[in-house]
Amino acid sequence: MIAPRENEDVWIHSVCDMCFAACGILAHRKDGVLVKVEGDPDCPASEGHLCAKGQAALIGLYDPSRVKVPLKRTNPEKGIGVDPKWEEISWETALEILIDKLTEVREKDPRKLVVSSFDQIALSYFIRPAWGIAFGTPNTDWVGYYCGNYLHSSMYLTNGAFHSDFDLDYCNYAILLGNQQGFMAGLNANVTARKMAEARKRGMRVVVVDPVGTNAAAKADEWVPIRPGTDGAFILSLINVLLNELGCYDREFLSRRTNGPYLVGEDGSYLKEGPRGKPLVWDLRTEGAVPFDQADIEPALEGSFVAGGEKCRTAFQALKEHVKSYTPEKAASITTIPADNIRRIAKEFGAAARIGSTIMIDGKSLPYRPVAVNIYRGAGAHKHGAHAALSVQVLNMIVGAFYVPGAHRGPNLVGPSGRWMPGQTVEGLITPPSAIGHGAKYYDFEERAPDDLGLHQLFPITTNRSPMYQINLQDPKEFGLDYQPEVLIVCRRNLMMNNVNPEITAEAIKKIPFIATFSTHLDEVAELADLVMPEAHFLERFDLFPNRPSHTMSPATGYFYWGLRQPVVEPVGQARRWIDVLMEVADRMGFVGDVYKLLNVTLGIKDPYKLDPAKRYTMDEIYDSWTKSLFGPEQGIEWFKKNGYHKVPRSVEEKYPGPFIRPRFPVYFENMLRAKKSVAKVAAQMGREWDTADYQAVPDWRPCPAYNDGTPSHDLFVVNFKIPFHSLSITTQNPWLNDLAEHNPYAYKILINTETGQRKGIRDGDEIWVESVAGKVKGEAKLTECIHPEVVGIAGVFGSWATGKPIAKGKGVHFNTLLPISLERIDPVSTGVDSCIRVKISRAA
Amino acid sequence: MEARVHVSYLGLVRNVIGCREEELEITSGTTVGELLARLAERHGDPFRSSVFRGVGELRSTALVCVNDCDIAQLEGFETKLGSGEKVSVVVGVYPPEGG
Repeated sequence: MIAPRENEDVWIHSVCDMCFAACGILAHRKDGVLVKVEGDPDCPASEGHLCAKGQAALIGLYDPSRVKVPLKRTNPEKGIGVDPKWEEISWETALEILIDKLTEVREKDPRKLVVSSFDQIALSYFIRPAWGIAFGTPNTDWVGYYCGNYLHSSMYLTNGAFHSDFDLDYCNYAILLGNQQGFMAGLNANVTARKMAEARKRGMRVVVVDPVGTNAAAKADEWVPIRPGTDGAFILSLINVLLNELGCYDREFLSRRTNGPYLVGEDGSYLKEGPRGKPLVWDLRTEGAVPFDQADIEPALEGSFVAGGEKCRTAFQALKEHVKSYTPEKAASITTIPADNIRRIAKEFGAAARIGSTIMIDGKSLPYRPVAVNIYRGAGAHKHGAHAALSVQVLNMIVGAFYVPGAHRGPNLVGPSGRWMPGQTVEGLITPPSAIGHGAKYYDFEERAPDDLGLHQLFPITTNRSPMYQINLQDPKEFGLDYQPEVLIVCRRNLMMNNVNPEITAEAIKKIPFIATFSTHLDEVAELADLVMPEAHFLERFDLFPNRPSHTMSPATGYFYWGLRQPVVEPVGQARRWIDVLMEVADRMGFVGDVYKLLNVTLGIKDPYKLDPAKRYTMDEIYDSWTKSLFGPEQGIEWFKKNGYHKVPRSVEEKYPGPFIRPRFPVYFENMLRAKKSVAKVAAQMGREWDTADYQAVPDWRPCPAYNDGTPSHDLFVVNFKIPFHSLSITTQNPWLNDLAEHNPYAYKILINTETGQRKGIRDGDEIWVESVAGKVKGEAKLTECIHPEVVGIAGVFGSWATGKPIAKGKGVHFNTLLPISLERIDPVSTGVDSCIRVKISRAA
Repeated sequence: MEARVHVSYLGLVRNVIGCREEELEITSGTTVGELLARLAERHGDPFRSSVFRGVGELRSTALVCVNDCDIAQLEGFETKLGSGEKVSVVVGVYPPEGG
């Protein structure tokens, strides 16, 4: 309990939750009231700084429109704009209703329960690895369609980590492809923004490739407008120029640290010692094929050979020949980027890589490759987006810019003092540390019909399959699952705002007979619920380690660190944290002991701190056991409350692990060929035709549907872009951030290129319609030079319609209304939803 | 020498075999692989199908622990069992998160 005290004046360590950067904050409480939120100087993620979102959290806490008591729907009719006719109920009644429904489905078939959340802390530590499994459902993965389906799997496959990052301490040349890393977006935004500013002062060049002149583009040395969905063609052309025109590539790195020298046969598969043996390379010393890891060999990086009577070539040779078709002239016609610019950027990138150079850091001589290309949602959220991300990684690798100073890196490939390390396949290739990507088994496939809504076996190389949940709900017979969802629990997630067209999403959600939500506001998804439970604001919550040391903590912070989000004030009304409620539900239903057993395993809790299945613990006690197990008896939860952070400085081997680890990185994806066969078999078992064309060993560019389906009326592409002071839909109800957006010339507007607008008779400030095959939206036109002439731009996740969000309601434009969902419009490897589509625009008046 | 181990079934495997936990007599030094083979005999195809993808290979979504430690961090199927040890068979360890 946080009892208000007279003349109290305290500053409390906690962690922000206004976006995924999870910056450390100091919260100033006077007489029981929060009066200020600042960056915590002791936190490596903020160093005393905090963005607008974090500072505005204060006003959101005291929002009078928050849900304060449990509510039960009394109107059986459901739909967008339909009044649920809420009835206030007690928590006890709410729990009885929820437990009755859960007991019923658990007895029938536990898989009928679906849990949807984007609360990464509870989801990653408790729900997916413990609560959902103990309940007996695999369907706890209905998260976002909006960020990294294509990205995270491509990173796990290439850099062995969850994310993409680059070293701003030494980087001299960065290409940002559909992302704004370093410009108040991306990992640890506060730190990387400062590092980016310092890097720019010392002369770092930034090239932003994006259809929209974003915040990053406006500050870059060069903005390269690109036609949406063509980023892969641009990158493959850069690779072609470097490999085949300039001969600029890091032969030593490719020969020794990648699978470039592995021999591949005419079918694209590795030549191996035996059926399950090691891949072979061509040894220039003995003029013969030998296992890749044999000592004292000189592997050929390029060339064609005959080994064991079989014609073969090196994987790198296959890549080099493959990209030849991506001439700058061809790429120019696809991307609209002039061929001369492509050649120039390739040349600049290659020269800036300083191939062959080294640098001394902390007494260690390391390869120095101060260049990186970085990708995120804008470039990857397209059909074939996985290929775009893999192309980006290949570009980083061919110049050796991988896990060395100045270069691309995954955020946390190795843990402090060897606490976690990457794995290695029999082919010698990198796999994620088991502590980070246990399920990312991209070399080993199951050939059986899936039984989860995500259809795991049909999409073996991805990290989340959320769009498949919706497609399965829309037509439960589509994939022949032998059950249909009957209960949906939504925890701090707005399925209606953050997915595709809300009418389509609502129809899918309404097929689930009982829906319970944990909500801070009566938002768009609560509008469809049968039961709404008041959720605590993050300034009222305990969350241990929200800074995710294994996943989203940029090495730019200089540390591995562990922190605590702790309540600063008492919850408003009867608000509770949803994970506490679900633990109580597990206890009442009799499976909380199983949750504890699983937490012992998944959190790695050791004796004497292991949870006893026969006992009962509060979440705070679980946190206490976990922290003491990790850091010793002195560093329990009370230590974190008082001190804030446990910090471990990163050594040079942990900042730049490339030269210090054994596994190689793939520039050739032979496992994709095996995935292709596996997926084809699974589809055949399910009696389906299935497109497996994207499972190929070398990345390609293929047009997304929007590229080809323009018509004279629907002649423009619409894309979505990020405004740095908003995050998803969670910040839209905040009055201070709304005020910023209202004063920003772009946030709530529809961006159209000035010439395009003039051609269509649209003037700046006109009210216009934007219409796709899925839906239409209305908003104010903003004519600007800062957008590609073929593109309409809509920012953020605005355009709320829920009456329970009075600040957000009617503000800005809801981009996702324009997006349809179908198998034809998702990436066939990652399931990422294609987020560009053709539209027509017209004046509303 | 005779020994007893406690086996817990967690997650989706429980949906198909209808058993939460059981005590089994084993010979001290029995390996995890041998115990799993015995469990497969005992619970039949639903167990095999839920836990294994092939002979001697766990499904990517399956996890076997001895005293709450993943056998991958011990000696794998060769991990030897003694009396009083707790074996957990978990199915439903789905791939990592990512939006």
